[in-house]
Amino acid sequence: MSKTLFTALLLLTCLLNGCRKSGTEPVVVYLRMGSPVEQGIWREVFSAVKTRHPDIAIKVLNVPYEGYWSKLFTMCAAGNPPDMVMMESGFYQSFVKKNTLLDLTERIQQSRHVHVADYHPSTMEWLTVDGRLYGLPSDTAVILPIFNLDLFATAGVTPPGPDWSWEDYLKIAQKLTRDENGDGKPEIYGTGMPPWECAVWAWGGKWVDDLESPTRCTFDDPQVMAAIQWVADLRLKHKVAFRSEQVQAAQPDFFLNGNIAIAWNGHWAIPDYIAKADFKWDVGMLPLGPGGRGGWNRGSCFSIPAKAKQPDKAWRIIEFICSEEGAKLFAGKNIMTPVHQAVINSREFLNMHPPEHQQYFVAALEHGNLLPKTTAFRELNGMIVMELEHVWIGEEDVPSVCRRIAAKGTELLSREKQ
Amino acid sequence: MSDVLISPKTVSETLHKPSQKSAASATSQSSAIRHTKSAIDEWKTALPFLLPSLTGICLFTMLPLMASALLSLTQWDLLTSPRFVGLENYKNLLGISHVSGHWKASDPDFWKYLWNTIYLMAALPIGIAASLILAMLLNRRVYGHKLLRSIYFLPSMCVPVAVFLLWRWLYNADHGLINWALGQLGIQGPEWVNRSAWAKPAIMLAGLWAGLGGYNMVFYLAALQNIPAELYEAAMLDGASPRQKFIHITIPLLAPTTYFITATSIIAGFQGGFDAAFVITAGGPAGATTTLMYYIYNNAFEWSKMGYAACISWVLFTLVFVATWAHWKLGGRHADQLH
Repeated sequence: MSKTLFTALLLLTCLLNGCRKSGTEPVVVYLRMGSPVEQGIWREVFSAVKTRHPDIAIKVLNVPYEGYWSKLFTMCAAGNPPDMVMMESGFYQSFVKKNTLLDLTERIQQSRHVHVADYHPSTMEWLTVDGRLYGLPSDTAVILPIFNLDLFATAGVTPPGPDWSWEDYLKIAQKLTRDENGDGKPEIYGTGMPPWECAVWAWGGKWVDDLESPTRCTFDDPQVMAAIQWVADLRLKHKVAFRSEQVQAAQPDFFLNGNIAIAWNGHWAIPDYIAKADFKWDVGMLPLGPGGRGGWNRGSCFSIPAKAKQPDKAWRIIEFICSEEGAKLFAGKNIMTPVHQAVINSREFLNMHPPEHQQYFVAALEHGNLLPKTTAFRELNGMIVMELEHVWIGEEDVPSVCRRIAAKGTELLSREKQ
Repeated sequence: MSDVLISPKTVSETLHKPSQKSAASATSQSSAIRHTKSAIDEWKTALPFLLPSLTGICLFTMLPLMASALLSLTQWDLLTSPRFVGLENYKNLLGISHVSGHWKASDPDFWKYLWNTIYLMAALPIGIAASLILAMLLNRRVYGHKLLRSIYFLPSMCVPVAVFLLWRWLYNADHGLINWALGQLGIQGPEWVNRSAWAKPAIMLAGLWAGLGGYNMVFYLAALQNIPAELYEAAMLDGASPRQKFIHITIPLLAPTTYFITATSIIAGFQGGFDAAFVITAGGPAGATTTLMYYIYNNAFEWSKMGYAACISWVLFTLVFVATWAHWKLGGRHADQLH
């Protein structure tokens, strides 16, 4: 091909690209699709969106969790954010307080398809920042204890009802723990390490002095220290808790292998248990502590970056996904706990089995605790997790570690304020 | 009054003939000019060939280097524009204050992770010595020596993440092969990655295994093959024992290679430990295996504190520079002389 002809073709291609009508570009949707089951659901959802809005083309950026946030941060730094983002409560505050998400309050108020009252009130607590909304919730990330009912039956233990306490938790774990060959290492552990956050809240403890505008880390409060000590004793003193050194995803594996009688997990693990567990299982309710039940109030939402190129089309997709119709599509596969009240209170959702006690996922929403609303949350959480390791491995006592966490956390929060 | 007669011819010749000194000066000047011109011509020819590499170095090394230096003077969370803060990051990183009768570091985690980094580098001498021993063994003309060299080199060709994932399972306290093997000998294996005291040796062992038969062994092998056989023959004739041959011939003649390997290992040591710690221990337990590189990663990609991460990077660079300079001062010239 001659040079002239090649150059002419190149120029023509560029011109044609430039002449493309604006608005035919696809809406870039940034999310993590997760397991093959979830991916199947998303395909259905986007197909339904296309049917409802044939003028909207969608381009999905499916990013695995490991690189999800760093890629999103990089895209925002480059000034090229996607049009629609699946956001999490732990990161939501940072994005909102840095003015990187579009204020959706007016759109929600004017919408005919979605209303604030549609969603469980707990989700609005973390979504609302200074009275404004920057996303619509899609699901909640409640974590509950999961029981291996076969191991319960073998040990002659009746699975507890909804009003069990942390004291009952310890007694049940002790009965379930079995060291058959007497080598000091149980073959069956009563429980995996329960989430320390749930224990802290159940003891009436708090991470910080003020969730909306934290200035002091309160890990040196007696309730927090008592809760941390309780969790640590499960492993170090009573030796009923299994703690795998594989940091991610090991607890569900050991649960599926029948090495742990009680694990803690979220609704997203249900399809895995249905597919792989060769034993009977069910979920339990959050146990009662001196301060009540300690559950998480967190979840996912869909937001629009402030510099999105197609915010209007992105909003129409979000409106559909977070509407009752969209929520039903997700809930129908039993992979998440939706927050649309019409769906979570429906017979269809509550009668999805297993688990037998599906309703506990909904009941736990009443006992959710918010995370501190600070842009330094991830660093604060990382510091707390790292310091608490000293307790879990028995190298330091709880009061020393908790005081150190309180000091470091308070300094972190004051630096953030500056 | 001078009685030297100066003839007009002499005067004329003197006036019109350049002096020897100025002639020499003129010659050296024109020689310098010719030399400079020739150098410029050489550069003009060389530059187009060097340009691709220079462009790459400028774009992908020098520019990011300068950018990171500037970033270290800012606070940047990627979501908003960088905010200039001067030397505040360095102050927060390296500052030490006297509070209530105690000295308190502004960032105690930095010093802890610096100590972790230096601790993990204790494996370097072992690795270098082991590479030398391996090279000496593989330098022998035994049956299958080429196959053996390939086998020993294999671990360094494997993807580090895959290798360390396997080590993570080997180290499992209840189900891992290491503790099972120790159990067969009647030894209760430790909780390798659950105890601060064992986590660091665990990382060092995994790193040693991965690097043992690697490039250090190859460099030593090449250097050993360059040692003239006559030296060993002469030593043998003089009645030298194998130990004496090793100390008085092998070690001195390997000095430049050892110097190079040590220098590169020190640089790699300061920068390393990240992949093993990330996969095997996630930097734990309780930060026991978090190195400076891991700390930079956490600040940059977990907590979005790009400015602070850049600041730590420059402090690390300074440490590497000082260590390498000290290494040169202590042994570099000596290695050259021995060679």
